[in-house]
Parts: sequence; structure tokens; C-alpha cells
Amino acid sequence: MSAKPKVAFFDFACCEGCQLQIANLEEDILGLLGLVDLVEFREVMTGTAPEYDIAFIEGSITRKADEERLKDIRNRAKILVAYGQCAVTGGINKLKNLHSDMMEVRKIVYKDKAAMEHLDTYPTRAVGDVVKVDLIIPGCPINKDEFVSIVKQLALGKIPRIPDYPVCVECKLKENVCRYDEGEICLGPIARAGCGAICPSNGVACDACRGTVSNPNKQAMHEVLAKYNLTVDEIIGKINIFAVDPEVSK
Amino acid sequence: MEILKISLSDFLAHVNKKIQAGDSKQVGVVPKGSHFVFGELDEAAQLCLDYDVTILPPKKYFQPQREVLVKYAPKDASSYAMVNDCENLTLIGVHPYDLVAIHLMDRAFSEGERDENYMAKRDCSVLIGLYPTRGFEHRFSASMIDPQMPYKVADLMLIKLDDNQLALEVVSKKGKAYLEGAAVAKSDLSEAFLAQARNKVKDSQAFPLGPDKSPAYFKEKYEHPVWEKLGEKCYSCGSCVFVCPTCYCFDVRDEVELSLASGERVRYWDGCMIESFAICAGDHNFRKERGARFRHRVFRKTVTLPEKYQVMGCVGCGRCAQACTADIAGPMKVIKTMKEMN
Amino acid sequence: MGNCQCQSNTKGSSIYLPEIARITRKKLMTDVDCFFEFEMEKRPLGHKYGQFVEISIPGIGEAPISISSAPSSSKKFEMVIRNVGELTSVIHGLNIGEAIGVRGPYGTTFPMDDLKGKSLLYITGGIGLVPARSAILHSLANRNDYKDITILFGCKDPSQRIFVDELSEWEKRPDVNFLETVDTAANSNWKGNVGVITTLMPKLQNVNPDNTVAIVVGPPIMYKFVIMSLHDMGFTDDHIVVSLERRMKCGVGKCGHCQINHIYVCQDGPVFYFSDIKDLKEAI
Repeated sequence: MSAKPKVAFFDFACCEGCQLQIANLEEDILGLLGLVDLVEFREVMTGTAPEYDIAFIEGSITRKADEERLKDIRNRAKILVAYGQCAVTGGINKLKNLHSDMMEVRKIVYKDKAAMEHLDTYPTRAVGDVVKVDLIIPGCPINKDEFVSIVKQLALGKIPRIPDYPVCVECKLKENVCRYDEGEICLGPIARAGCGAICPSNGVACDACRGTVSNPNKQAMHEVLAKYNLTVDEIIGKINIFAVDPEVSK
Repeated sequence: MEILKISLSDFLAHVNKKIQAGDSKQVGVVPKGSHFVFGELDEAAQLCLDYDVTILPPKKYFQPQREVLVKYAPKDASSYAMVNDCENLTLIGVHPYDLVAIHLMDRAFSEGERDENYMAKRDCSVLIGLYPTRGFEHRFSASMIDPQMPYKVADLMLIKLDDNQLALEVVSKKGKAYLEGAAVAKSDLSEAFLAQARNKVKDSQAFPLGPDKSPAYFKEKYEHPVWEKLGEKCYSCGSCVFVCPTCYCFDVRDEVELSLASGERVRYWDGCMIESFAICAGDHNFRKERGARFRHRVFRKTVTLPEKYQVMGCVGCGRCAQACTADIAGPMKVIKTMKEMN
Repeated sequence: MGNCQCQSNTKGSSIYLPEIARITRKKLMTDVDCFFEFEMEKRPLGHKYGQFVEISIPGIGEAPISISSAPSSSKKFEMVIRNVGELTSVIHGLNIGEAIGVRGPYGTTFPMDDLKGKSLLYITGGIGLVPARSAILHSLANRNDYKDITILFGCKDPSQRIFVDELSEWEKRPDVNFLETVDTAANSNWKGNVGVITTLMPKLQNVNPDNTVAIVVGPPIMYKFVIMSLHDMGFTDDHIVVSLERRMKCGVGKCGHCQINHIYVCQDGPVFYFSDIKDLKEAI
């Protein structure tokens, strides 16, 4: 990419918290704007463009209409990046997939207004379930530093890689007291790093908001839970928050 | 070796003088939650001379978690320039096993191709050792280290005599210089008394093999099922290697400023327990299995380093045993499990 | 910082600081392999057969690459770089006169001096020919130092052949026994041998394993089968020399990435007598 890449941001079912992370980059935002040509970003500007070098997609896919819109973006984007856990795995939105009947889900949330047409929804899908994704930036929300680093690498023509090792790595480098030593259950040993172990560094156990590493040791997790007289079922709520590999619970 | 005495309050007052003088960073053991870490002292009163173990060993001062090796303007090879940042540093309260580990690290970084980034930091450091006064359930260092070896790197050794008194062994010129102006007195203590004071706490366990026997013993166990058995419980989280005082493997990455006008080649801690560590071209991973990685790490401590340096590569600090959530990492656990399986 | 007491002489150099070499020649050999001739800016590289250098582009990264030319006192040296990642891709895009960073040379060498008076059997697969070529060129230039010279070369398909002019030169030489093969020859007008490299080995009737040393360089999968065939031919492990490929990140025996048991491939290798590493489970 010799000229500045044309970059656009889009959102689907999400809280827009990841966009906010970007809008909140403060001094770095000017640096980033020096690297890329921002052509579409509803949260911070008006304007559209016919095609994009890089399209950043936030949010999960929950309606047929979302699918069409996403496919259209894909067709017009050279590189498509799913960013934020909703886009990467379905994220918190995927909790609703624990119910088989979508009308039941609507009733839980909207009570007697559940039948309204615009509340139409289907089981949550990750962006990668609908279109080809070139790169993921996991996290709920995304890590600002990782985002900046990835944009820099793309601008340099590098292929960004996200960590595929557990959060424990970053936690140890920060010399945190292990949450297990404090008697807590932490998903750090199976969770994908890249967050800088921000939660354990602030005294909170990891919920694996970036999903798991590609080869998590489920067997070990089960045995460690057993050591603490717990079963996977007892912490299933914790595992389910971010739609961690459903296999972990088997 | 000159032996001196100093009261604890006079020693702390001396450390305070050093802090105020500001020409050398004073680092000591300080509490962190229910644990301890080495950290910069703002005042000597923070210093803890009665601790079990620190979460990370002092290696972080000589091979930092993140360390710039080279800087440059991106894509311009003629712009390469070396970077070697270091500062005067005094480490206070380093236990003997960590001193032995520093000795091992010194050898690894100075022998063969000399690593000036590490060695310059060591040259700028004063090491004040301390005999432990608090036990630690996972420690087995007495069986792992030669008691004379800490003196190869220590500049001073502290021996806590009671709550108010310290004996000081002056090991090097640097150590002597550090004490200039301190309220020290000649020691009238007998060697027998000092020996007892050095060995106040006893380990609850002992590793059965020294550097002479360990390599042959473990080599024979290369195919032992213990590696797979313990390995299958391994998260590959790297905790055991990051907390290890004799692990120094690293990764090197290029990082550029947002302007893309300048960049750095940066060394980060890395470890053989991480799944991707041994991947080479074509995504071929020659230590793909958890058990193979587990064995590699144990062999580095019990075979490779002893054969190379005639010193155990494990100093018995017990950090890996404590850091391992799955409770498999400690060398004592390996020995115990092997016995159970036989 | 700046208040440190360390002696400036200990900070005067760095094993991680690259030197500069500029591209003096460049020629695409296959769709992914590009031949380069570089010229060191300040000094001759001074490499031996089978060694490697760490090459780099600032901001992109560093990687180990084998040297392909025979040792010489010139500042020039040759490499074939396969475009497999971002660093190699950037280097492929460089023009004559542009610079890369170079550290090294590193590693052990093919024991060409020890092999004087012996017959040589080179078995090379794909870009394994690249490091082996430094030894081949040396032995051909000093032809009288060695008895019979046999060169086997195999690659995936005809489009993946490298150093094609030299291959045909070797084939023509009366004092060299050259055989080559391709794994598959579909969609080409290839008239030569087809099959994996071990299918060439039964054709070697006159090789005397007692007085011949096999030099084997190729992709990881190749070693196991070639060594089995060499054993069948009567070669002993101390008559087999291999060059291993690992992720040699630092090149100076520190970073640990290339370590197999007690061996650092970057310093104890990449060239080994097979007898020295046959018991290392992770080696081959």
C-alpha cells in the first residue's frame, strides 16, 4: 500500500464500545489519521465511499438485513477486519443462542412489546460466520494499543499477528499476584492474551473476553477446577459471558 | 573476607542516604498483596528483609521484559543504530539461590558471543545478598546450589542476626564502596555463630541429584511416560519459565512509531513452554506436544545447563511450583511423579 | 538514564546491530525464489560453506538465510530468498543498490577440508540446494581435492528448479555425476525423472559408502527417507552430513528458539554429522 489506505468503520449488533475506544485514542488519533485516509466512520464523521482498502467491522450479525449489508461491505473491501468480541465470536450477544426460541428471547428483553416488527432477530452469528474475515482484533472492548499497533503494521505492509498464548504470559510479565493464589477462579490460563492482562493487573480475575487460545488445555482446566471443588457447570456463567469455546464446557 | 556489623536502623539510614544521593537506583524487596516483588525504593522503610520469595526473580533488571536493542528509520538499513540503556542500580536482599541464578545468566550472556546489553546492566549493578529468614514451602535450594557460589556475584552479603542487627560480609570492592560512610563496626562474631545465622531456615524438601549425576539420570528418562503424564495437564501458559531465574530465552520484534518515521528492534521475554516457540519456516513445529515442551524445559535445567556449566540449571527457588496453576511445574513434582509411576 | 558507571568499552558494540549490504544483482528464479547478489559495505563477509546470516529490514524484522556462494575474500556474496513472509516479500521488492541489514556469518560449516580425498554425494531438495551450493561450488573449483562427485537435486515440479544454468552445466561435466528429479511433472514438457528424491538413489551403483560422505540438505520431511535409503546403501551415520533448518532468531546461541536438547542449531549447527544428532528426537 503506497498511498494512504482508505479505511472505513462499520457497526452491527453491539454497544459501540469498541468504536468509542478508537474515538478515545486521544493524541494517537491524529497519528493514525496521518497513516490512513478515513472515509467512513459514523461515530465520528459524515461521509461514505464506494470502496475501502480496510473495512473494520464491529458487532455481531443478528438479522437477515445485516447479512446483506455485511456482504456488500465485503465486496467493496480489500481487507476486512472483525474487531471487538461481538464481531469475532458473537460476544455477549451470543448469550441469546442459549435459547432456541427467538421470540422467547424477545419476550425476556422487551416483555409485552416483544412482537414489534423491528425487533426481528435470529441467532447471533460472528462476522466470520457470514463473510471471509482477513484479520480479527478480539476483546470486549478491544485494546487500544493493540488496535494502533495493528493499523501501523497494516500501513507498513506487514501481516499483523495477534497473540496466541494465554493471558498468564502477560500477567507474569507484569508480576501480578495470581488470582488463584487469592482463591479466585481465573480463565487466564486458557484465555487469549493481547489485553496486557488488564483485569488481573487491577485485581480482577480474567473472563476471557478475547476468547481462548487456539489450542486451550480443557483437560487441565477441568482438573484445576476439580482441585477447587468446582465443576465446569458451576462456572458455566463465567465461561458463557464471552462465548468462550463451547467445547470447554464439555 | 571482611565481616562487619551494623544495626538495622543504621543500614536503612545508609540506604536512605543512597536514595537521596540519587546516583544509583536502590531496589529492594517490597510487599505486593500477599506476595513480594523487587521494586524501586522511595525510602528505605519500604525494604523488606524478611520474605519467602519474590514473584519474579531479579533477572528483570538485567534482561528486562521489554528491551530495545536497535533503533532505526523504518525500511532504511543505513539508519541502524545500537541502543544500550543502563543505569546504576543496587539490588538489596537477593537470596543466595537468585545470586547463583545471576551467575548462570552472566555466563550465558558473556560466554561465546558477548551480549553487551545484558553485561552493561550487570556492570552497573551492586548486588547485596541476604540469607533467608523465612521459609517457603516450595523451596529446595539447599540441595541445588553450592553455598560458595553466591559469592561469585554478590558484592555484599547480609546476615540477619536478630530483629535489630545485621552482619555484613564484604565480598567485593564495589560492596566496600557501597558501605562508605555507613555506621559499621568490626564483627566479633565467631564463624560457627555466623554459619548458624546463615542457615536459620531449613528447606522441607531436597532434590536428590547434583550436577554430576543429574544429566545422566534424566537422559535415561528421556522416554519416560512422566513427560506425557504431566504435560497433558500443562496450559502452555509459560508461567514456569517467566518466573524462573535461569530462563533467559527471548523473542525479538520490530516496532515503529505512529509517524512511521522511527522504530525499534525490541527484545521480549519468551519461553519454550509457549506452543509457538519452536515453530520454524513452513509452520513446522518441532516441539508440538505439551509433553515434549515440558521435557525440554526440565532437561534444560537438569541436563543442558549442568553439562555446560557444571552447575544445576535449577536453583531450587520454588517459583515455578508456586506459579503453576496446574501444579505440575516444580522439579520436585517431576521426581515425585516419576517415583509414583515406577 | 545516563548516570551509569559501566565502562564505555563494554557498550561499544552490539551483537544485535546489523551491518549493511547492498543489492548488486537480482534475478527471479521461480515464482517465489529470487537470487540476490549482495555487497557488504565495510568488509568481506568471510563466510564458510553452509553458514547463514541474519538479514533484516528495519521495521519489518529479521530472519536467518543461508549463503549460497562459495567462500571468497570479496565483499560480495549470494543468496536465494524464498518469498514466504513479510520480510522476504519486502526484500523481493528491493532494487539494485538498496540496502538490507546483515549479521553474521553464523553457524558450523560443511567439513570440506576433512572431506579431502573422499567422494562426495550431495543430496539436495528444493531450496536445500541453496546452502549446499556453497559447498558444491567449492568442491567443483577444487575438483582434484575430491574423488567422485555426485549431485542429486529434486524439487516439487519443473517450475521450482533453481540455478537452472548451473544444473545443466553440472549435468554436462564429465567429472560430475548429476541426477535430478521432480515430484510431479503434470502440465509441463518435462522429459526427466519423476518421483521423490529417494527414487534417484537406486541409480547410484558406483557409490562406495566407505569412502563417500553424503551431504543432505532439504525440507524437514526429506531427511528421514533419504537417511533410510543411505543406510540401505551401506552408509554409516558418520558418513552422513545434514543441515538443519530451525527458527534461529538471534544466531548467537542465546534466544533459545533453535535449541534441540543441548544443541543450539545456530551455533552447534546448522551443519551436523548425523552421528552427532541421531539420538535427538526433535532433530529430524
